[in-house]
This record gives sequence, structure tokens and C-alpha cells, in this order.
Amino acid sequence: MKVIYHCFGGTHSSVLAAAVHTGRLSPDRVPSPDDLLSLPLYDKQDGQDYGRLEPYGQDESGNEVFVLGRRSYAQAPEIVFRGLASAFNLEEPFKLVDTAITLNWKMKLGGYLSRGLKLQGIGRLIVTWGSRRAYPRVVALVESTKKDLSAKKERFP
Amino acid sequence: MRVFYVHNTPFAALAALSHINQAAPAGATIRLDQLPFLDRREHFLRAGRDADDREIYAVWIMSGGAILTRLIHSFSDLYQIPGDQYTVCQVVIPQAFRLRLAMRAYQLGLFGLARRVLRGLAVLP
Repeated sequence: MKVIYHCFGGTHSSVLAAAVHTGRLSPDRVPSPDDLLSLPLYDKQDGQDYGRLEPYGQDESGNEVFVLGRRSYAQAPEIVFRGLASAFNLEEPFKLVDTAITLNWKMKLGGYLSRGLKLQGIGRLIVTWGSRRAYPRVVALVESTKKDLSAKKERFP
Repeated sequence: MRVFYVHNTPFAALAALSHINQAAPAGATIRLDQLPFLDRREHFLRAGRDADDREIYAVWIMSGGAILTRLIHSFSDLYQIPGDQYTVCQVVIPQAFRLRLAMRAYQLGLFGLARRVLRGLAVLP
């Protein structure tokens, strides 16, 4: 199974979720700003990279994890990927998870300052602060995603 | 071979249907006011097969033309679908004044006006 976490820029909330899912971040401990900034893709993608799937590793069950920036078109990955899977008769399933629900205003503001206006100093300070505050919600989203995946595996082994 | 017409308006569907209509018997036309999906802001539509047995699709999302092309290429990379199995066609601005007006209306979110402008027109090759 392929798991695709997507958000506006594919660089903050989706990266956090992918990092928790693949075990790069512990679900039990809120990461430090340095931990966050050393994650691959965290606060690194910008406007040129949206629409591109970035591999983020595998989880303990062998599911491949990806991150995707999709700007404000939250429905686009679902519509396009479901349509393409049907058009090409693909049987290998995938799961799309919108991580935008975990965002808070600090992540939005910090992300905009850092990625949009290239004010990385202040932007990263705010976005890492927001990411740490949002971390429990991200962990909860990943846990519910993993539950869904194992339920699907039981139904369709 | 699959052909995907993409746009930020339902004109993706009109382009796909025009493509299919080239394969239709002489005299057969599709009336635009009979197409219910033209009121949809986003859709993935299988239009049918053309004379060369290619499957024709239309994909549109309001104000999202560029991301559609990227998503299609990303997905085909992910599943290792060879590039010769599909083509992505970006719909171009039509020449005819009524069609240009309808497209602009769709882009502005004025679906009622767009439908009114398209009323009475048929999809032509």
C-alpha cells in the first residue's frame, strides 16, 4: 500500500505526518526545533515543487510513504489519482491523507514567511513553534491512518 | 493509449467530447445543453474511445489546470506507467467568441452564464 500525506506546500504538516509514520520522529516525544529542521523536506519545498510526489520511506508494515504539496486544491489528488487508477486498471491500492486539518495559525504564518516570503529566520521560528503545538494532532492523525491501513489489510490480505 | 484533456474549466470535457465526436457517424452531434457534468467544478470523466481506439478522458478542477498535469505525471511515475501509454493535452483558448466568453465565465465561477452562452451549441470536431 502507498500512503500519501498531502498539504498546501508539502513541506510542513505532511512532512511531520510522514516522519511520524515512518518512525523518524517518536510519537511519544514532541520534537525540538532542531529535530524538525533536520527532517528531510521540512521547510524546504516551495512553489516549484507542488504536485510532485516525494518518497519518504517505509513503515514497519512495508507501506511506502509519500508527501505531496497540492496548493489549495485539497480535492485534486483524490479526484485525479482515483480517476487514473481506474483509467489504468491499477489494483495496488493507495491511501490519501489530507494533513491540513492539523495546521494551526502559527504553522500557516510561519510557513508563509519562510517559504512564501523567504524570511527564513522569523518564519522558521514561528513554523517550528506551531509544529510543536500541532504535534499531538499530527500523531493522532497518523495513528488513525495506521489503524485504517491495518483494518484494510485484515479485510484484503 | 490514453489521452487526458486537462483544464481549469469544464472545457476539458468539451475538448474530449470534440475528440470523440470525430469518430461519430456523420451528422451525429452532442448538444452542450444536454451535458449535466458541465455544472461541476471538478470532475474526472471518461469520454469514450476515438477512431484509433485511444481512450479519451477529461479532468478539470476550478483554477487548477497546472496542478492536474503535474499530478498525472507524478502518478504515472509512482506506478511506473510508461510515457508512451498516455498523453496530457492542455486545452487551448478557443477561437470562437461564444466559446471564449463561456470559458471566461467558467473561470470566473459564473456557471449559469456559461451554460446560457453554450445553449444551442453542439460539440463539433
